[in-house]
Amino acid sequence: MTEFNKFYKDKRFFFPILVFLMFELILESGIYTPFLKKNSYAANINRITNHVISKKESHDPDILILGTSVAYQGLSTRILQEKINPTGLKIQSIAIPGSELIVQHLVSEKILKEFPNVKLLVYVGEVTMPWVSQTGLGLPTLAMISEFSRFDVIPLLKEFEYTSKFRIPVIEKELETHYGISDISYILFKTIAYRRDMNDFILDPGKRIKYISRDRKNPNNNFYYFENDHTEKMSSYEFSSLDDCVSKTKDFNNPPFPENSNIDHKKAILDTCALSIDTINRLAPTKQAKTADTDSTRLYFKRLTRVFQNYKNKNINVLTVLAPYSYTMGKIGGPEKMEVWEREISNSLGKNSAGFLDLQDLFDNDDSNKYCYDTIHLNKDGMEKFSIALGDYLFTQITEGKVDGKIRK
Amino acid sequence: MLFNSIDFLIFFPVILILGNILKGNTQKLLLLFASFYFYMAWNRYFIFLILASTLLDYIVALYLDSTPIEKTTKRKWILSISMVGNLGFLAYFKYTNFLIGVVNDINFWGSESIALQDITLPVGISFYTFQSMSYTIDVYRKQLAAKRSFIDFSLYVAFFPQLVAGPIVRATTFFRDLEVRLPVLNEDIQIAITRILIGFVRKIVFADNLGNVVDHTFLFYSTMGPLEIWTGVIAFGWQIYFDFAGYTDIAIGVARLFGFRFDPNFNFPMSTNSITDHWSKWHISFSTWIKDYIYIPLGGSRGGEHITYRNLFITWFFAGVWHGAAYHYIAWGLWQGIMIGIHRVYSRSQVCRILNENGGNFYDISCRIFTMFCLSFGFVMFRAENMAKVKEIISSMILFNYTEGSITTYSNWRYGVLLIICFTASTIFSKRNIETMSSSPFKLMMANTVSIFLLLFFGFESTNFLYFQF
Repeated sequence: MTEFNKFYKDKRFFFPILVFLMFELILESGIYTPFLKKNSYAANINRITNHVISKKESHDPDILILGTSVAYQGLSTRILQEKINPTGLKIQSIAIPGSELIVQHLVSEKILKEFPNVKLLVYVGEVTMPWVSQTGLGLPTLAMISEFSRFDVIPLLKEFEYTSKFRIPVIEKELETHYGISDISYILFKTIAYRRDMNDFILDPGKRIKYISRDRKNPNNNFYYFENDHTEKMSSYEFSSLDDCVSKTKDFNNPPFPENSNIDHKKAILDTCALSIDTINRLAPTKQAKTADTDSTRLYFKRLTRVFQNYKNKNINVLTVLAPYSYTMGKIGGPEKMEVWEREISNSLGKNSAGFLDLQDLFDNDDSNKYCYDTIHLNKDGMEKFSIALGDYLFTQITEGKVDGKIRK
Repeated sequence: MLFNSIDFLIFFPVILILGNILKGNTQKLLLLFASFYFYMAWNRYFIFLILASTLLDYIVALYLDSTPIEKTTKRKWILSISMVGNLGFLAYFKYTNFLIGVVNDINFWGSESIALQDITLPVGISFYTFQSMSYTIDVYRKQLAAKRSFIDFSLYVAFFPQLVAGPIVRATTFFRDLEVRLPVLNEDIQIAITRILIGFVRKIVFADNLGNVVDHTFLFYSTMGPLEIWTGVIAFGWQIYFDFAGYTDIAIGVARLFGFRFDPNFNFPMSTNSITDHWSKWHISFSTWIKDYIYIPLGGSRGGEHITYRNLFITWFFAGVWHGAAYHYIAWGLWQGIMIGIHRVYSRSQVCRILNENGGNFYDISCRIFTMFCLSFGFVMFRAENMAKVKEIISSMILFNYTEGSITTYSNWRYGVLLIICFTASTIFSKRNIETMSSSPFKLMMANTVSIFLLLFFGFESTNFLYFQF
């Protein structure tokens, strides 16, 4: 073992380790963060939250919108603000594409520290989401949570009941932990978290630099970070079912692309149709699924309760909104499921519940796909319709004092 | 268990620490059980196959050792027991379905096809069978005394670093290091770690990334232009080189940390100036094995020109069969034999002599490019799933089956650039190796630092090693 001791002390061994640690320190300092790939999960977390915080002086919100890409693409903060302008209140969105509840929780914590005036949270739920509640940490979630303090994140993995299974070879025993070695390395080391991003940067630096300089030349002066400008419609593909959707889009690389569609749109449709089939197939065989009382649903609401805890502690009320979606998916939110939703939301929020707004049927059955970009996300027209409906509802509730008396100025 | 897995990340340090604390027979026992565990991580039950093969050769070797050399016939009979046993296992697991397929293809009697069997191919069977057989043949030839210790012999067959994908270590090398245990010095550790890191870079950074263009090419070749197919095919040559050389680098590095010094298995074979040179640097443990145990026993080059070419073809036919039970592997083996045969004729010609003396760098580079050109047809035979695909791809490569695509729509240019870099770097670095690099602390430090960063930036989820299937 003496030789191994010599090895550790040998500069040939520790020099590369030292270089690695120095590089890690440089990344830890945040110097690379502005250079993250546009619209990557890590970049979105930083850019959206930083944008919201940077607009604090001119736009200190009373109402926050929390959710995933459904809210990010489906709601126009501009329209909502216009709708509630007469009440004197301000609204802001912290919806993050691809965010699981743990991410939404971390984002909420970061934002609420900065905005003590928030009185109402609009939580955009997706009726399909609880059924696909993830038990393991996926790369998008890892990328997003690694943007927060590891001291906050690691204990949360236990609280949110993430599991990682490790099979011991030969004896075939399975160990279950809250995070695997690769998960923890991802959270602990920025070098690991950013390696894909840096790979992309190294292989095509021109594209990244072009984007960064364009971003600097044209800073986003709006109080909101994003507004959906996708005019592509799912209806241009004329699907009769999800299977038809997959068969018509599986060759996404190649034409035909209907008018006002393109390769990205076709691929997004394929991905979300395949995801919807998977979700529905997983639901189909069990009776439990019909009533929505499954393990993943329970886990989802448990996590949601944890997210809402932050708001309850600050006495912020929560309005739960179920977003509209494409009817190609079929009717997912049946009465049994709605019962579970309402019961669980009510249980987790108690007196802080500001109601439950179900907008799943906002679009007419026949032309719902006109408003959808893919099976999950709305296009520009859909966003406008959804935002107007929610804006009107918010305005009425606020002015009539139904949301909560204290929200009225 | 894969070297590039979390399992190995836990397994290896534990065994390394224990292996360096324990001494003598307890250390050997530890390494033996660790090796069994390593193999059983893939399949628990096939350990009995290794044990059966080990026991067979152990007993046969002891019996051969105790049989006087004068009793030639008896010794041959004893040796044949080992050959039949080992090759029987190999034939059953690897070639049963191939032979059924051949019988079905020939179908002399016009009867119904025989159903294929559901047989799992044990990982590494070709490697450890050849290793075990070479020991028995060496004992038969009296080049080696039979091992009395079953533990020692079992460890030779099952030693985990080289168990599943080589290198095929000769018994003389292994027992030399097992008997006279050299201390593992700081220098050894430095070289071993560098070799392991380089092995991972070759596998995860180069082989796996090149795998993208290779998979795409062999899947969508019918829609691709010739230049794209050529890129994909040459990329496969580099992919399999990096994959296999990477594995053996890790194996050699890991073995060195336990005090075993295995010979290098690759020596920059991708920028050689002839096919003969290529095979003297590619999978060296295998090429020397077939030379020593097939080509030379057949008579080698001692029986005149015709016999030499016959021996070459037989040897390379078996090389093809060893790699896989399919026509395209046999075609690959025979193609190597044809190239080596033609090169043998050429190398003895006056033209070759004149060009060697006067051709200069231009001739040297031309030879290297031409060697890669010829090897590429072999890469197609090796990678394609069947002969029909081989025919189609080669037709496209030589413009007989030109469909679409041209230089202007060349979409694989990034990989093309990468291959040119690989080719150039290989030519430059071929005169250096890790051993000479270790004399300069700066070079070793830089090699390790660059390796770590290459792994970080360009190495993602890794795949299985290609040579596991053999």
